[in-house]
Amino acid sequence: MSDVEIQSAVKKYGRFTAVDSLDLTVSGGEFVTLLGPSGCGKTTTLRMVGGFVRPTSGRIRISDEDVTDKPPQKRKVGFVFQNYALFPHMDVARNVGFGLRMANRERSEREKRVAEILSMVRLGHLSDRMPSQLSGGQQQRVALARALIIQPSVLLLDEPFGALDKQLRDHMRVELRELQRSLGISTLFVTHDQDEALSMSDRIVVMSEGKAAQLGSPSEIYERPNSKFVAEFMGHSNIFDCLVEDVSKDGASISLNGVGFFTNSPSARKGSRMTAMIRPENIEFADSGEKRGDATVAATVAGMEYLGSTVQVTLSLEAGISLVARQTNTESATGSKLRTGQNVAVRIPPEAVRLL
Amino acid sequence: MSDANQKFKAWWLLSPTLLLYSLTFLLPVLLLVVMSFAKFENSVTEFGFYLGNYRKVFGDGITLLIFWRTVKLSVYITVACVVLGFPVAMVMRRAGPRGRLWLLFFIVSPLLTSIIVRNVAWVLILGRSGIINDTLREWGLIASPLPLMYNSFGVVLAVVHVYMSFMVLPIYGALQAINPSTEEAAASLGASPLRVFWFVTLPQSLPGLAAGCTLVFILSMGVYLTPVIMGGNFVVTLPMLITDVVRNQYNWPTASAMSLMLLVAIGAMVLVSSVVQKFGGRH
Ligand SMILES: Nc1ncnc2c1ncn2[C@@H]1O[C@H](COP(=O)(O)OP(=O)(O)OP(=O)(O)O)[C@@H](O)[C@H]1O
Ligand SMILES: [Mg+2]
Repeated sequence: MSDVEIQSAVKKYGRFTAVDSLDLTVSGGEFVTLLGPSGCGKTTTLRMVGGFVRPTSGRIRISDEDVTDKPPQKRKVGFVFQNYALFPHMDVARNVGFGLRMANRERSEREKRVAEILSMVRLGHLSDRMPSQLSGGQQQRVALARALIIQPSVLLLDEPFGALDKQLRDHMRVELRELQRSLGISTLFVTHDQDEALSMSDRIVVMSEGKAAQLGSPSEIYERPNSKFVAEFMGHSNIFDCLVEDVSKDGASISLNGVGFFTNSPSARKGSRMTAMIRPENIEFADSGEKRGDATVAATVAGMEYLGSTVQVTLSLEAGISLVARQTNTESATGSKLRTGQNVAVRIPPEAVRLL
Repeated sequence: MSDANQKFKAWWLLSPTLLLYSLTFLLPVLLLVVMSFAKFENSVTEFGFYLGNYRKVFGDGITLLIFWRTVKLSVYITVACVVLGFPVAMVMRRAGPRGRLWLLFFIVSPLLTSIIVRNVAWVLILGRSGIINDTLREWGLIASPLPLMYNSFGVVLAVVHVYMSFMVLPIYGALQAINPSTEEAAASLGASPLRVFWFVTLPQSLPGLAAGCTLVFILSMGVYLTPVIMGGNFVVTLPMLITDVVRNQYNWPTASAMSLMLLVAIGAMVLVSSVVQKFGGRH
């Protein structure tokens, strides 16, 4: 039993392929996010599920029923548009009740359900406002209530928080997720914001040029990206091409432009060129004077960026390698006391280095 | 800067327009009002406060009849423009840039042709021995020519043809301003295409529709030459009557009273339309 099934869906616009044989199943109240850079086909995918775009090939199934040839009005999906798309000529109650009206429900039932769902999104007091009299966050909640009232099999959201400011956005994330959990409705969510995806999703599909580059849980995607593209897109800064020089039982030694590192990443193959990712938060600063032999690397502080709770240090290593380290900003942390131009010794533990 | 200040500034910008309007509109209307209370006897106009012109206009039976006929014709024309023009505007909205340009050209083209040429062409097409009647007779489909002109039908057809663009363009403008996602949202909430149109597209296009109706209605109330050619003496409208009163009887006072009647009717239409534009479309 699946709520949505996308089966090798392809969408071509002329010669251009917007979505390229994508497979995805969402079921059991799962929250799945389509994440990717602009133009990678997220909206197109969502619109294919919603019935606004016909796939060039492949099938779309909703509640185990093939809906590929069905128009949107026969699909029972709740679609929340990026710009909310509220009906500007109807007040909040009529906007929200529209789906029930189209289902020819009795007025009394409609009014009761509208009141219920409006109180659920905490908008009960605004039911006779016009959309133009609402704030962005309120419009967002109306759009959500309007989509949910028809009790859709799946909720589709296209960058619903794109137009909101940061604070409201964080707040709405939590609110949407709580609502979605309590209703147990399977959800397909589109965003190009990796923080949003990481914080909300059960699973993430990272898309690149119409294809699914990686599919997995937020921690899988973040900690074990399967490609340079995913790693870069997830905001990792230290990504290098490297040569695997030697592989042993407990790890491998690799070389970045001649600078040697040690990694316990399992995927190493001797002699192969691979992509290495070094996690900024795992880089340690050796205290001045302390020498730990071959485990440390000499570096110069090229720049410091204060980010509030953390400090980001750009280090310049030999052979022109530039490395970013992130330190928690506490009184005792060495990293936060550094100055630009200072020479330091950094330790890069084997578990900080991942081979992709 | 305060709001009040900005309003004042905006009003300033209107001053050249206001000046032009007072010279070309308000002043003549004032003259019309004064003239409508003048007395016309034995070809002599005597100014004063004489109600005889209005008594005549409302009492002679014929003027009011012609007035209502003019209103009725204008309503027919407006309705026909809506029925024919709305789909055109919808197609224009969906069309690509090239198709849109062609449609626009097609709709505006009557305005680019001389009124005489256009109406002569209609005579050649619709007349007793015009293209349509000749062809139908040749095919033996009719025995005597169909009355396609020198009646209300001919007048409405020809006027609709010219004024169509005044309906299509405002509607197209309003449709263009509709966020297509609102229509998609309605569809995903279970609305069939017909209901999407009725509940979402149409209400949002009402401002354009009202503007189009106002323009076409006003223009139709004042149209002169087309009914003269297409209706002959069989469809006399108020502008034709006014022209006759001025030109043949030199009776400016009565003509003024009739003109004011026309003006008030048009003013009423504008009022109704502005109310519709303000409150219409709300569900
Ligand atoms: N109707 C269309 N005709 C032609 N190309 C289209 C059409 N719709 C989308 N595309 C193309 O398909 C690709 C994917 O578009 P899509 O809107 O799905 O991207 P997206 O991932 O949602 O991007 P964004 O984050 O910018 O919203 C884009 O390159 C876009 O130019
Ligand atoms: Mg998009």
